[in-house]
Parts: sequence; structure tokens; C-alpha cells
Amino acid sequence: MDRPASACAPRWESPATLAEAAEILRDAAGSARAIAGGTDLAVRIRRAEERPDVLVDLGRIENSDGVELRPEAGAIGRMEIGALATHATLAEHPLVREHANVLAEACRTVGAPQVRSRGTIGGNLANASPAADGVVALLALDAAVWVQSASSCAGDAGAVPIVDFLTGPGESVLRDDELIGGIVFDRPSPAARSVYVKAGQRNALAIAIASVAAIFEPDAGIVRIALGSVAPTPVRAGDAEALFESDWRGGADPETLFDAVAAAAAAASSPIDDVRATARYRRILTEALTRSALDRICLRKA
Amino acid sequence: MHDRDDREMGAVGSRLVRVDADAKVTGRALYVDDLTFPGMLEAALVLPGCAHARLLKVDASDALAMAGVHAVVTADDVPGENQVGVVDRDQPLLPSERIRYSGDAVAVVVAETRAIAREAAAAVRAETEEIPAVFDAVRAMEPGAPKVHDDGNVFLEYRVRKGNIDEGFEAADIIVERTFRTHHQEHSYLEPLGAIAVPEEHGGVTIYGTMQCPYYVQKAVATVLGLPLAHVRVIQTVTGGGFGGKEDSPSEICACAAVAAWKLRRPVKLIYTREDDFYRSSKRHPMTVTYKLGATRDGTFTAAQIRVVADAGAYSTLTPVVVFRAAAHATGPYEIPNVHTDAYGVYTNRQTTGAFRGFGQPQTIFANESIVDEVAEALGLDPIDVRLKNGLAVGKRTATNQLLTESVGLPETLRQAREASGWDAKRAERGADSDPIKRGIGVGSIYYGVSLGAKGLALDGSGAHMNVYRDGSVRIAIGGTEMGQGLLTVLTQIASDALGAPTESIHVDHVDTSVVPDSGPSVASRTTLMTGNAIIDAAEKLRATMGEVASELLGVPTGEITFRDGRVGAGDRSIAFAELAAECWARNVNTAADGWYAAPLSTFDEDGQGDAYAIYSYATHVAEVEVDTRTGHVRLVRVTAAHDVGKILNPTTLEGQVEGGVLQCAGMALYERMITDGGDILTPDFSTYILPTAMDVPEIETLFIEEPYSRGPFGAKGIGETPAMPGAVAIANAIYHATGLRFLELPITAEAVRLALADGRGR
Ligand SMILES: Cc1cc2nc3c(=O)[nH]c(=O)nc-3n(C[C@H](O)[C@H](O)[C@H](O)COP(=O)(O)OP(=O)(O)OC[C@H]3O[C@@H](n4cnc5c(N)ncnc54)[C@H](O)[C@@H]3O)c2cc1C
Repeated sequence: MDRPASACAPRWESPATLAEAAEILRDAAGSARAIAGGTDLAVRIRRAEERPDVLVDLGRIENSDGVELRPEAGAIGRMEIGALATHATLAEHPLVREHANVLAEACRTVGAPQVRSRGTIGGNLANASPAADGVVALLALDAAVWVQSASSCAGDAGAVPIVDFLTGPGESVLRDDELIGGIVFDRPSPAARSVYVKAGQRNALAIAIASVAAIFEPDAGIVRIALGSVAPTPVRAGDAEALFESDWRGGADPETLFDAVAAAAAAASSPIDDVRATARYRRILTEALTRSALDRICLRKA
Repeated sequence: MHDRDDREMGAVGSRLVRVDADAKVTGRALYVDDLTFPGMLEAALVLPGCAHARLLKVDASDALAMAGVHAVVTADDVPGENQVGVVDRDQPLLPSERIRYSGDAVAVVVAETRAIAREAAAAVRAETEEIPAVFDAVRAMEPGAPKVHDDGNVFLEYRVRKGNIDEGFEAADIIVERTFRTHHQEHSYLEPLGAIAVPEEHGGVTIYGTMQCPYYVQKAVATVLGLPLAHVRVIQTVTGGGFGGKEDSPSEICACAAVAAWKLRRPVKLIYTREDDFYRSSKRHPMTVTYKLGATRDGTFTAAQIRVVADAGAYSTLTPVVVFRAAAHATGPYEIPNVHTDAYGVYTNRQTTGAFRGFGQPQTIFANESIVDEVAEALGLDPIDVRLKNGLAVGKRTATNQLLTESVGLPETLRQAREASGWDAKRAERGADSDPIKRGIGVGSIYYGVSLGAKGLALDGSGAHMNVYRDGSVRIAIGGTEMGQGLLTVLTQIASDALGAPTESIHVDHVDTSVVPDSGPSVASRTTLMTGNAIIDAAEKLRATMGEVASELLGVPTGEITFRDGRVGAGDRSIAFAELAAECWARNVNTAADGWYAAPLSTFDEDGQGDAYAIYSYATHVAEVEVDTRTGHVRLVRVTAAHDVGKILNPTTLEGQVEGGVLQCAGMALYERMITDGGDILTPDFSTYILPTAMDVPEIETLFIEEPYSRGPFGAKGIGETPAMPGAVAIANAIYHATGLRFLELPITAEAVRLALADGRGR
């Protein structure tokens, strides 16, 4: 018997700043967990997959859930989103809807209203699920992650690109005593159009079987395509993007091009069989979802 | 649609607001987990999780050493008989030698708190030795398959033999034969199973719990404790859903709590987690149904040969009655002169299977209603025309050769569903080939023998106790259970009209087995019918005794006295019901009465011939779908649900029953899949076991046909289950219409559709 069962309930800490929160995590040396919305963590605690002694509530930290567009970083402008921003906030936020529609749409597909009201984008990222809807959209947006530790805040310059941040299913470069402060990305060009398409097992409370986040920038003639649930982490379909870039400008027949780009996206996936779907179906879905995403953003077809 | 002037017509038929609505929406309703008793302890079960194993030893030493643990209760602690089988005596409460499925519990851990009990349960070590297991009922019938029980795996066989099957097929111009498979379906009631056992000072025990069948629980607890029934009192707490899942399984959990409470002489509460519920509660039977149907060129059915194999799981629980119902109804609602049905109940090392809305029928309906569509298509006939041609009607005979004499609304359900859904136009519509979205419309029809029928005669009586107080208020004790379906509300309406007392003055209680005699189970769509009739019986007795007093007071002959709208009398000479009650009290006249109703005799001989059920309910659902051929996603757009209910008692509760049923059909058809790996359930919660949500609800139109039943309360028949029966196959038939894909297995997930298309099946 390792410890009395009555000690099950963890201690609750509510720091006022991110730095303070990071200090508590450091001092607890691995036995503490940050908790934001709790929509992932509470489930894992109930399943006894995690048994933290201390829960560090990030909900009281000021200025941690904002959404801002900073024009000073060049003409394009940068979006900054606090880690504690909820899916409900991001789904409806005017700045997000205007400049990063793909993120708003992705957040709108998360769970159901209760989950969206509590679940945060920081939690979505830290949880590092290959199916994390918000993360797939952020990957398409080429976002980077601010990491805060007790000793330092890496700050803007040191923000970690999402491709480097995620290392596997449930795994990231984040250490036990580090926190996500927020997310930054360059705003896509004003002419850009973006969508998030997701296939789940039902219309709500559905973890993606496959999903596609896609951004089309007509002025540059490029698309950015990120895939969810079909690899150990959300992944970019680099070959598909390159194919699009080389042929779109040349005036290729869209039908033929989109089919080829969709096939290339499916080829970028490396899915597995699980209780939700087989790998074979996931590949088919990736192709179908990419195709319909391209129709919508490049040709404005429903 | 069915609203009308309430005052004119009395309470029956009105949209009386559910009597329990207020308590439930405000949170005042107390479910079993809301209750607590002085000195109460909490329990958790130890599930070794083996599919099939010899149990060598239960080592509880680590658990017992934990702070706050009071006891680890095993088979050795069962004071009476270690047995909870409902029909057969094949199920130990706590196995001591052999584990037959992953839901078998070998010990009950009792502790100060639930958290400690669960932690300690995980610390109990069961030493086991695995033995070969069998997970498929068809495999389990083969010689040499591992035996789940020593007498062999096939423990049950029913047959129906009508006419001459060979001649029937000879007379056919076309014969279609297919094998269909259905899978486990979980009831997914909101409130998981739970029980509290409280030892009483007189030596007995009182059980509180969420359940459909308190009298089953009473018997199970008396058996395991070795007590007379009179010393076991069962009080049904507010019950958060049942759908059949709380017919057999509550006996097990209540008996576990009882044995633990008995050992410790303290109240013990046992609440299942959702995962416990997935592992231990009975599911809908997976069935393999081979169906062969012959018809002449004009669409007249000549013969049906059917073989049903039902996976009972590790213990038989309710399988004997489920398979009886499946066998009796296996042809579907058609007159077929030659029928040959064999139905088997087979043990496997899987979860036990029991009652689930429809009770064995939805599985055979999937087969028969798919085949009927295939026959119609092969003959170039409209599916509804073929159903009307062969469908049951007054004067026709069922598969058991029962002559139907009254209340057969099937043809009307077909006609009204056809009309309201716009069937003919939609059926003819063919979308553009280039449109990736394919539209389809499909139909399913069913009949359902109300109440227990020939295999449940001994249980088929129900009681009520009606007490009129001196101020005219009325309290009624019943033997049937409210589990969320609206029973208390419709019974209030029946009592109101039967007694002429206003609905506000009437209160109906949940079951307490110490008040009303064994009224059988609340299953088989029988409760409104049976308990309603018992209430009418009690009210008639009270009208007789109270009527005599009224007659004396008013100087009117008893024969002319009526009880209506809160007044008693004749013409302009009347007295308020409450005043009459006071007069009765003043004269020492008894104003309490017991009511009873027993179902009429039904029969089912060795060849499955006889009047199997007293009366049948009928329904037709028409489903419309849109299938996205790119993803396989099926959108259920609209369902038209037509039901012959005998008489509408309350349109609101009736619509609720039908709408919920439509969703359960959608779940069975499109979403719900319990995935297992050996004894492990890979989908033991609602994030992986996929139920339809509010966002998946189609447009639903309900249509009610009133073909009154002469013995029903105000003409009503049972409707608890019929809404959950025709919809799944209507969806399957609609998908066929849309895509040309005929699925022989449920559920038809988006993946199944898309991969079938990828494999070149379909149009
Ligand atoms: C019913 C249900 C449905 C769901 N549906 C979806 C869905 O459709 N799509 C989807 O993507 N997800 C879904 N989820 C998962 C979950 O809601 C999201 O991942 C959500 O974004 C998690 O955020 P949270 O704030 O609740 O995280 P929490 O549970 O609070 O935390 C999750 C993990 O992240 C860590 N963490 C949280 N914030 C930070 C931070 N700022 N810095 C460092 N670490 C942090 C925690 O320590 C923990 O390990 C669902 C969950 C549930 C319960």
C-alpha cells in the first residue's frame, strides 16, 4: 500500500501570475499539474491516469486570456492569444473570425457548449492530442508557443514553433515546470480565406477521426494545409502545399489540381486503426476533406 | 395536434404537465446517490476482468490493511443461497470457483468513503487461471467450442411451425435469403445503477435503489440473505432511466449491497461508475438472424423460414423470455401461411444480455424488414404496397396462428406515414448522378405483443392501493415503476377520471414492496395497461362504497350516481367529492381500496402455436436520409413515426416516448457500437460508445392512431417499446434507397458506408 486513499484529493493552489504558477510547479518537482479548464485533466485524474498532489489553477491569472492584433510587427500584424482563452471565446471573437477564421471554426467544433466554455487553447496545446482541433488550426497558421518557466520567460523572440513544440501523441517539449503563456502567429494576408473541416462520429461531442485546416492566400497563390488525427501529431501536408503552389498560378484546371493536392495530403498522413476508425478510412477522409476544403476556400463552393 | 378542451373530456387525453417535472428540473428529486443513512458505508466491486477463468483465491490482505476499509465480502459471506438468476438458477452473485465473463465480481469492498472503497477494490488480488473462452454465439454452438456452463452452450430453443414450409416455398415465384447480424446495445440511462441496503432492527433489511422491478429485487435479496420475503422491503427511488436495463441488473447490485450490509450490520451504499455499468449491466442481445422469405409475383408472402441465434452472454438472465418474444414475432407483422422458425439462446463469455426496449424484436425486425424490401424490389413493387398487402389486420392470423379480433392499427400506420412523409413523390425522386449527396427514404413496420404473454403468465397481475382521505385528497400506491417514462402522470390522469377526483388532489407514489402485492416487472410495455387497470379496479370499489353514502345523502338511487369532475351525484343533486369523503369518514366507512388486474390467458405450444399475447401494438416509421458519398456520413433528416396506441392518455408523454425511441433507433442504426477485445470493453464510456446527441436529432413527426383495446384502460395499449423498434431498419432501408448499399450488419457507421462504396458496392 503506497499511500492512504483518503489522501486522494490534491491540494489546490491559485497563483495570481504565470511566474508564480511556474514557481509552484518547480517546487513540487513533478507532483504538481497546471489546470486550466480541466476538461482533459479532470478526465485523466478520474481514470487514475494521473494523480497529482497539487493542482495549480491558472484561472486566476490576470491578462492571460486576451486576444490581440499587434500591428507594430511589420505591415502584416501579429495575433497574440493568451493561453487561457477558451474555445468559446475564440470561436466568437471578432478579431479571430476576421483574421484567422480557421481557428474560430476549429474551436467551434470542439465538444459541446460546456466543454467550449471551459476548455482553453493552452490546454488543447499542452495536452498534445493528435486530434486537438485548435492545434490543427494553429499549425496551419504557423503559430508559435510562448513558454514560461520559473526562471525565465522565453518571450516573443524565443517562442517555439508548433511543429517543434509537439513531439508525439500526448507529448511536447514542455517540461513539468513550464507553462504556456500564449500563442503568436503572423496574420494571414487580408485576402486570405480559411476553413476547418472535421469528420467525427457524430455532430457534437466528437473527437475528430480526421480533420483538415486549410488557408488560401490568393495574392501569393499558396495554400497551407494541416491535418488532424492522422499522424502522431497534427502534421502539415508539405508536398500537397508545394504541388498547389507550383500549379495554381500556371492556371491548372482546378478539378484536376485539387484532386492531386488532396491525394498528396492523404499521402502525408500516417494514420492508425483505433476504436474510432481504421487507417484506411482515415486516408480516404483526409483526401475527401482536403478536397472539400479547397473547393470552399479557392472556389467558394459550399 | 391532439389538444382539445380539457374540461369537457376529463383528465385522460389532456396534456397534463408531468407530475414529477418540477422536482426533477429544480433538483429536488432524490436519486439513490442523494440519500444517506446514519452510519452508512460505501462499497465498490472487485472485477478480475477475466473472460473465462478458474478462481483460485481472493487475497484481500492489502485491501484490509488500508485505513478506512471495513470488510472485503466474498462468496463465503453470503448467508443464504449465492444465486441471482432471474429465470434459470445459473448465476452466482459472487462466483467462488469460476469466472465466466469480465463483469463477474468476486468481492465487495466496504469502506468509510467511496474513494477508499474503490482504491481498496483495486488492491484486492484475485488469483485466476485462464481457460479457453468463446465470444461468438454461432461459434459457441459448434461442437468442441469452450463450454461456458458444463451442460453446454445452447440452453434454450423455441420453435414456431405453421402450415407446411416446403409447400410454401414451392408456391413462391421468388425466394430471398440472407443472414443479418446485430450487436450489443447499451441502455445508456443517465443514472447508473445504485443501491443502499439498510439492516432493520426487526431483523430484516430495507433496500433503496434505482430499478424497474422491485419485486425481482425483493426475491433476489431474500434468496441471498436467506430471509422470508416479508423481511425484505424494497423502496424504488426516483429512477433516472431504465429502457429494460434496470430489469435484471438491479437484483445483482442490490444483493451485493445487502450481503455487505448484513455482514457489517450497517447501511451500505453501492453506486456503479459508468464503466461498472458497461461491464456488469445486461445489454441488448447480439443476434444472428437468417431469414428466407418466399412470395408470389403479386407480392403475396407464401413462406418464411427463420433461424435466430441470440448471444445470452455468460448467464441466461432474461434470455428465455427475450428469445420467446423474438421467436413469436420473427416474421414481422404479416400474415404468412407457412412459417418455420427456430430460435436459440446460447451462452458465451461476453456481457450478459437481457431486456432492452423491444425485447429481442429489433434484431429480428432488422432482418425481416430488410428482406421485405428486397422482395418488393425484386418484384418491382412499392415497399409500402407490399406491407399493406401482407400486413396484419382484423381477421388475419399471426405466425402463431392467433386470430386478430380487435385493435389492429397496422394498415392505418402505413397509410398515414406514407401520406405525411410524402413517400410516393420522394420514393420516385432520383437525384443527379453528379451530386455527391444521395437522398433516400425507407420504411419499417412492426407489431408488438403487449405485456408478458404466454411465457410470463405467473407474473402477469398488477395491483394498486388507493386511499381517499377525509379532505378528499387521494394517495395511490402502485406496483409498477416510474423510470422516467411518465407513468405517475398518466396514472394520475386515469385515477382522476376513474374516481371523478381532480388531478391536483391525487398523488401517486413510487413502489414500496411492503404496500402493494407483487405486481410483476415494469417491462413489456405493460405498466400503464396493468397498473392503470388496477387503479380503475380500486376506483370502482371506492365508487361503490362511497356511492352508497352519496345515495343516502342525496336521496338518489345508487345506480344513478356518477363521479365526475370532482362532484358526485345525479343531475342537479350532487355533492363535492371532498365533502363526500368527509361524510364517509364521519360514518366510519372505509375509503381505501385495493385494485388488481390480471392479464387474460395466453398460450404458446411446443410448435409455437397459440394466442401468444392478449393484444398487439403496431407502428410504422419512415426515415429520410442524406448520404454524403465522399465521407460516408449519413444525415438522418426526418422521421415520420406512426403508432397505433389504442388511446392517447397524454399526448405530451406519448410524443416524448416516441421521440426518444426514434433516437434510440438512430443509435442502433448508425452509431452505437460496443467494441471488445476478449473480455475487455474498449468503449466503456460515453466518449467512445457513441450515442446520438441533441445535434443529431432529425425532424420528427409523430402520428397517433387510436384503435381502442376493449380491455385497456380507456382503450389504451402499451407503447413503451414500439417507438424503439421500427426506426433502425427504416434508416437501413433509406440508405439502400439512397445508395444501393444493403447492409447486413448494424451499426451502419459512416466508415462502413464509405468503405463499401470504396469497394465498389452500391450504385
Ligand atoms: C466531453 C469532451 C469533449 C471534448 N471534445 C474535444 C474536441 O472536440 N476537440 C478537441 O480538440 N478537444 C476536445 N476535448 C478535450 C479538451 O476539451 C481540450 O483539449 C481543451 O482545449 C483542454 O483545455 P483545458 O483548459 O480544459 O485543459 P486542462 O484539462 O486544464 O489541461 C490539460 C493539460 O494541459 C495542461 N495545461 C493546461 N493549461 C496549460 C498552460 N497554460 N500551460 C501549460 N500546461 C497547461 C494541464 O496541466 C494538463 O496536462 C474534449 C473534452 C471533453 C471532456
